Amino acid sequence: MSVAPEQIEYVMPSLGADMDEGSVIEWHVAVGDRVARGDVVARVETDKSDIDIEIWRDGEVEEILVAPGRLVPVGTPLLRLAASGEAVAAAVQPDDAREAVEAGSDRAPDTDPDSIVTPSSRPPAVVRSGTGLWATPLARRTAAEQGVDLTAVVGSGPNGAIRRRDLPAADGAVSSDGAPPAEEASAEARPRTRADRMRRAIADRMSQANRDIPHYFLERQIDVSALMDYLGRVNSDVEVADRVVPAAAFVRATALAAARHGELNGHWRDGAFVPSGAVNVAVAISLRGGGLVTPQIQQADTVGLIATMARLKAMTLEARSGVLRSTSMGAGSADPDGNITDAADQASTITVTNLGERGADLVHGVISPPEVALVGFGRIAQRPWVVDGQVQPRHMVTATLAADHRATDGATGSRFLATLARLLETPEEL
Amino acid sequence: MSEISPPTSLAEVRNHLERAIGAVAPDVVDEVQSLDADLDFFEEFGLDSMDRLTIMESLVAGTGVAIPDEVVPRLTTIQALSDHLTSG
Repeated sequence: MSVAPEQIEYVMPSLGADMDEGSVIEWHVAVGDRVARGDVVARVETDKSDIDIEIWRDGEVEEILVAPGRLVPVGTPLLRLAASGEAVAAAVQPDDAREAVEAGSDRAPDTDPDSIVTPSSRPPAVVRSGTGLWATPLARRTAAEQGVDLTAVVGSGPNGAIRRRDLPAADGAVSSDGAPPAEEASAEARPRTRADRMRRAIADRMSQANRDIPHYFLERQIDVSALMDYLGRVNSDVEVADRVVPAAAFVRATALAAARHGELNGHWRDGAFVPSGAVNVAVAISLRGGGLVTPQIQQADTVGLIATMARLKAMTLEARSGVLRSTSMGAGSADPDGNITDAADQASTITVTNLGERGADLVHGVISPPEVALVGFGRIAQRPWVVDGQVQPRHMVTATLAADHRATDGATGSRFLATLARLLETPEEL
Repeated sequence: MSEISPPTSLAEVRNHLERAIGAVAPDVVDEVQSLDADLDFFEEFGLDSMDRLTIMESLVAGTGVAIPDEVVPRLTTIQALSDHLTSG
């Protein structure tokens, strides 16, 4: 039973709740190419990371709608595909993505209008300058602002295209009269470097969280001696590459506890809590240059401990390399191995931060809106603990919960932490 | 590339560690050669458990010496690494 190919427009996905625009920096496909579900079709630059965009349908590329280097709002069509194979749900972009496109058409004192593609000005941008140089709009704008001669810059992008990161670091943003330049002074100015843009994205998100969310904080000390013994047994006979670290158990236990306490797993939208059918656990991964990214494990409650470890390791490597997969950022649905399975975007539903890795004894976190809970793990350390009436040295960790008091009360949070403790104290259940 | 063989000196261990750290923390790779052999390099360089795993993987691949899980917690200094990697 053959049917005419379905035409699908693949749009700039929302790669995390704090992303509203991104640039395609490289296409990996050309018109006429056959693609299979899961293929990486493009690399996109966002404020926080580069992201490899995976396609969620088999088909043939009919048209590429955005040239490399264009900064476009979330929801902007990037590529038209003549889809073949099994149809999946929801080919159209989500409503909020469509709104982002529409907003993009009349926004921006903060952004160069020439660099924004709107539905009415969709034709690909020409990114080659009059001198024959290829450069992203961001790089050209930054170079102009800083008085950098682009002909003296070696580009790292495709065809030697110059990206902003290729430019020499800006020297202190202070003008001759000692005042910050006008753009810096403007709250709406787009920060120049990725580190600055990441800082801005985090600042915006966390300010919103502290402004809007009445947090409550709970903590619980958990005896993880049994867990450490268990992992010791799991790891004793395997190669280093296959070993499991406690962080994976923390993520796994959080996923299982979130599944059992659905009041903490979901989103606060339009004045009400909306529970999520899936447990998509975001994991805060700090970057060496500062800042952090929060890739997610989708349906983490269905992903076993060993597979959770594999996903965590892969996401950490992706994050540290500076290039994340789009499914790790919630674009499209993914199976337990992280392979894309369909078009429906998956927002993360709860976040784990494991600051104990950095030596902190405990963390009172800030919730990542629109989520309503963040689970923190401190440092694992041997401490005196009373077991069966005797003081013993035990491996202890302090788990914390930051939760949104609009969505739940402390009693719910307390029960969540009790479940978390029981899971980690009986690691065979993980 | 030379054949994989266990290191025979602390200096060789340091070179192996430098390569391993270069893959996870290029920002501190220049400091490996000058780091005190008795300092905890995980702490000094701000490395986490995933980094630790990746570094140990790289050291095993580079030296051919096994690193059992139970000794990993002790291998936090260049001296301790050297003691383990050159003992075999």
